[in-house]
Amino acid sequence: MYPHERSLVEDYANKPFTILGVNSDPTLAFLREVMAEKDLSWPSFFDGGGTGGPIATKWGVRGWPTVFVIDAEGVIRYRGRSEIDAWIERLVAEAEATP
Amino acid sequence: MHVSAVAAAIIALVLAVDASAQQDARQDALVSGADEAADPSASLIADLIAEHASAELGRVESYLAFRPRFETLAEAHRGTDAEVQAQLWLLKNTWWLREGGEMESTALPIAEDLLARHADSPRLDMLIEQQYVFTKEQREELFTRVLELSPHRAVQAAAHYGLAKLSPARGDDGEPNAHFARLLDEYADARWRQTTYGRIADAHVSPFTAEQLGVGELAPEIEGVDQDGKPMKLSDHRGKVVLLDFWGDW
Repeated sequence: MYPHERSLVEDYANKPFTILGVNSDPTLAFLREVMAEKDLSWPSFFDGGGTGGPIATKWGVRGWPTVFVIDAEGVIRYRGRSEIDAWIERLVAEAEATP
Repeated sequence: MHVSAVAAAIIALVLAVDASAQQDARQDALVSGADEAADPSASLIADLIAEHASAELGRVESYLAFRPRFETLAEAHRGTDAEVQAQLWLLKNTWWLREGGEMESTALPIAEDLLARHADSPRLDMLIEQQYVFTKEQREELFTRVLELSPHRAVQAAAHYGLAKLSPARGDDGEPNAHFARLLDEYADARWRQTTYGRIADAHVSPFTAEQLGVGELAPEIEGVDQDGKPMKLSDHRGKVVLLDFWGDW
């Protein structure tokens, strides 16, 4: 997942796009270490320190990674893995076409 | 109720809240004091835990290699906080015995012994975090006893949470189960790592529905902290397409 995400961030630099993580690792220090080591430039929510964190629980997430694509208006447009690239391309174009 | 009775009740409530805050402060002092104590067993157990963490062995092998050393340390420093830490390490790592079918039978006596001699330890929340080494019946029995015996609010909250998860979050009447209700009413501000039991209980009792998270729906707000501990909201990123990725490095 990391290489794919890094290339998305590169491809959409200066475009209306961001990755936002919700991280379930055990400590903030661990999260920061992973981000530095794997060169992850985008922000993540720190979900309390484990897979039982409040955000993942509230969103009913039971498998990791779980991915949603949300448009520039804040609407959920896709949940899944296989069509991420196509959805991002389409929604970024939509966002750029909107004045 | 008479006016003075109401006033007395309010004063009693204020005093109770204050007493509970003082109790928490004392517990914090106890916990940090334990780390800094001159007792040499504190550094012995810290060193042993660190040595195990950095050992380049397979997980089962490193458990089997270190187990006798933790047992020896626990025996040599019986009654100390170092012993509690050693016992909790031994308890947690019984996980590696599960394939041989000896996990529960090894874990239970350790937990029983901790409860018999160290029920006042502020570390007993870790006994509850190791729930996976117990059967469901054992959890119910052990966590109920932790709840009865522990003087520490954080441990009580952990016990309620462990017990809450043994039943559906809401009963047939649609109300939160008794333990989630207690967490929401009495322990909402008790901390679990970087969050609170109030937020965790709410997430279990009132998760978003499939409809709320469906394609075409406005994504529910997320309020939390980022990797630097700074407040962040999902809506801060409105105007951009967001790839929302629930992840962990494992």
